[in-house]
Amino acid sequence: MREGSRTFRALLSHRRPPAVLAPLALAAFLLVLPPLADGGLALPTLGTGPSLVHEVEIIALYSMVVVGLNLTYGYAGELALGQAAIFAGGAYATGILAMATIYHHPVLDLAITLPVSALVAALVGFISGAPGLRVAGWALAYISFFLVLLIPDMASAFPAATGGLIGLTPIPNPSFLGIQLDSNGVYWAMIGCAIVVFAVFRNLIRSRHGEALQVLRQSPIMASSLGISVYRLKLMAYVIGAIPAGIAGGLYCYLNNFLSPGLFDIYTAIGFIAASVLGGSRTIYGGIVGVVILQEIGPLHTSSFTQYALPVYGALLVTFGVVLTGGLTGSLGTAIDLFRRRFLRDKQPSLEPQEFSGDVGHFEGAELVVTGVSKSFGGNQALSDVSLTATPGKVTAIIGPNGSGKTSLLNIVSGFYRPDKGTVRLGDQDLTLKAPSKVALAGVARTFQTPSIPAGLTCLQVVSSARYARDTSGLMAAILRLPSYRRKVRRDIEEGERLLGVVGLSHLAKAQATTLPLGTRRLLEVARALVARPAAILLDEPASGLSMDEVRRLSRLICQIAAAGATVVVIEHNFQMMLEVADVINVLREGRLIATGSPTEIRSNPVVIESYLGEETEEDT
Amino acid sequence: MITTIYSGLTLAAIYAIVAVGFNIVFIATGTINFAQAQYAMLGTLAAWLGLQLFHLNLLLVIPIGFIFGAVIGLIEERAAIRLLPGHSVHGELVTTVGFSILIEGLAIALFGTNPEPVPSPVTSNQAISLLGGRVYPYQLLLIATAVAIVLGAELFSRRTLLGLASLATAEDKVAAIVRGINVRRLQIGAFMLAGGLLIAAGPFIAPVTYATSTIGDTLNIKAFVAMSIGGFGSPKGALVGGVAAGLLEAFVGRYLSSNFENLALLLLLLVVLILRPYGLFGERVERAV
Repeated sequence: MREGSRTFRALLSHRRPPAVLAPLALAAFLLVLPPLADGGLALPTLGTGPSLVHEVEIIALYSMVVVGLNLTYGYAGELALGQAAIFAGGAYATGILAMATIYHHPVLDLAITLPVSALVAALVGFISGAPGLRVAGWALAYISFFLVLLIPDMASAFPAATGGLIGLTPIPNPSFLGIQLDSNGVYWAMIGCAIVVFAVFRNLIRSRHGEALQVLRQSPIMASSLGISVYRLKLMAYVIGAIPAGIAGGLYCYLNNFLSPGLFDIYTAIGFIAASVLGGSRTIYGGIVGVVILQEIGPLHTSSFTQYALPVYGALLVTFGVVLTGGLTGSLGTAIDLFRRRFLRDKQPSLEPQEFSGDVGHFEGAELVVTGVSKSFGGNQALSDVSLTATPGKVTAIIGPNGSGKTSLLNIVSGFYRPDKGTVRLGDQDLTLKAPSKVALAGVARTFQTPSIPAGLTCLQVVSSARYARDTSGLMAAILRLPSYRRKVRRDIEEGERLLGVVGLSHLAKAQATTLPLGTRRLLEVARALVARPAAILLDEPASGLSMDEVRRLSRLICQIAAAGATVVVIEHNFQMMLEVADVINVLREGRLIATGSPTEIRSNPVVIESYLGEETEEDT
Repeated sequence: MITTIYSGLTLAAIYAIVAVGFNIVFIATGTINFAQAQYAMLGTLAAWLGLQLFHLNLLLVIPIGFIFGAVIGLIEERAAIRLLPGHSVHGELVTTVGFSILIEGLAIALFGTNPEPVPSPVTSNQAISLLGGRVYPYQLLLIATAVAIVLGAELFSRRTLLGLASLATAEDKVAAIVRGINVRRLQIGAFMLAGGLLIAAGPFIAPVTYATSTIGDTLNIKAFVAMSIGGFGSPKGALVGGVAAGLLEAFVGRYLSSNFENLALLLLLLVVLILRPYGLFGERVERAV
């Protein structure tokens, strides 16, 4: 009884049992399964189908496909409908090799076929992903779906190698490092590969790369403003997500020692998507749950068409797309969180900022020069011939009524819009036509009018995500958790915690960032912008939504940042605050710069008073 | 040679009609409806039911088909789009893929997978010689239908207030709402119109494709190729893209091998995406922050 309640508490307590325990136990059990089954141990059989060992093999292979899909869909946000085609590519690579060398001794080794299948998968992924990811949203889904249609075509086009529509059989069992494998050996190879694949994907998803993907999925715009190349990161995720499908395909040849195009049709492709969505696309192990369930209700493994599998898949996708967007495992996690909050009364830290503490550090500021910038959207002239300079160590304000072009100007500087005319320079670098991620890497950081905070990350992770693109670490280093990678992570944490302190949010380091109120989110965004040590920092209405007290502290912080050497550009409605904080104020009206000067000059400028301040000061009094 | 052109143009007409369906929804909602081509599939089944099984008059089958399609469009909009939290592209992809599979699965369960011939809507079923090639009258009728639909959609979107409202919505949903456009009604209307149109076109398509419950996926992809070439949101682009795709497919099939038809189309799609990611008549929209 006591034992039971302790497990229960451990499950619900803050420190959950290490998440790797359950998968490790499962892996250990699966590895000893065949001897148990051979020993005549009474094992429950699933359905009326093939033996349990065979079922487990299928589940292991399909789970590998789905975990790759989860990386591309759940984390990178690109629905690869044709994972089945990549699976087929891996299978045919191995199958063709195996049949071509059938009279050769020793038989083909897994040490050769697995890398070949993985490589073919990566190649297919790259060839379809590189053009497909250029247009956001649908293109990749369609291209990869198209690949599935090609499978029977390609098989019949090259019948000598592929056996045409009839297929390849019998594919001889492989050897591994020179040892001929029997059916148990093949089983162990499959389970072993699955364990390695899951370990690799776990380490990859729970790494800086995984965090960057979460930022990207939430908002590509934000990701690029942090210096992340959206295209490259997505392509990387897509190609890596293809590799386990290829490996699984390579092993699939040995499942029934048979391959044919009919095994990889559109319905198999949809089955993988359904398994991913059902288990929870944004999970690592959820795919296993999804595959196991679909094996029961929709015979995914026969892959030949069964009458009611399709409507069931369709209904599943609509239901889970609309209602249970986290999938089964994700929804379970949410339920546990809710339960914990409701019944165990976790102490919630205050969501308000505390005293700002700590030093902002030093910034290598650079002069930001905008020259003669014009921009029109259709017939609407948003900016005409605007020139201004922001100097390091100074706070440069841009004020103006709504629609005067302030944010458009900011968007031009940070690379989201291309100016029709004019140039933008930072120090001796020309930023004019650079992509947003390049502008960010050149040393420009920014915040957004509506704070852009990705879901599923803690405050600390949100802040340190800005270091991802500037202080890069390799994929292998992350997967193997090499010392170089650990050093980077330590730096991420140190820098992140320091800057959280600077904006008074140290106590919220481990809190989910999306739970924060608006004012606190703004401060979090400022910390994220600072962590990258930018030369210029652009703040888009940082004070809106903040309390009087917070505005005062923010003002002090802005002055500190400038004093530390950075070039600070602030867009604000709060004129009073700008008078106190800014060294130079630029006034925009209807896309034109109507005045530039010190706060005292601006306050007494008749044009400004007439066109802009007139209304504002009346409201204030 | 000329005969191959005719069969290419016949394919082109089918792709263009489905692509116009894509466009109607895209213009009004900014969404690609992955299930759109399944309506054309249903159209062929409806044509078989109406013309072959129940021997109904063509002039009756077309409006009944339209209503049928509009109702399914209404159901899809409600089940797969409206309920979606957050309205992300990828949420819509999953639910419309699901809806597509649902329709296809039900159609297969009810009708089986055997293609059923459907009589031509024109009485003469003899191939005629025209400009040195052979062509069936129903092919010419299908091509004419496609051209009429494209012209109609083009005029509708550029000349009518409703069409302009749709264009405005596709460009900036929030701004359109602020301007007093009922975006929700527009979205429902687009799904109903596109669904109705594709099923109503069934009697013209079915003599070529037969009534087949499994053609939806192929049509889906090829119409997407047509739309990518022509540009998202442009009905005339749908026609141009459809012609390019249809001719390529017909010529590769005739002079190379039918095994390479799909591959050629895929390569064409990849080349278009590399050279002109927004198609011939599509516009690049700058991202708002």
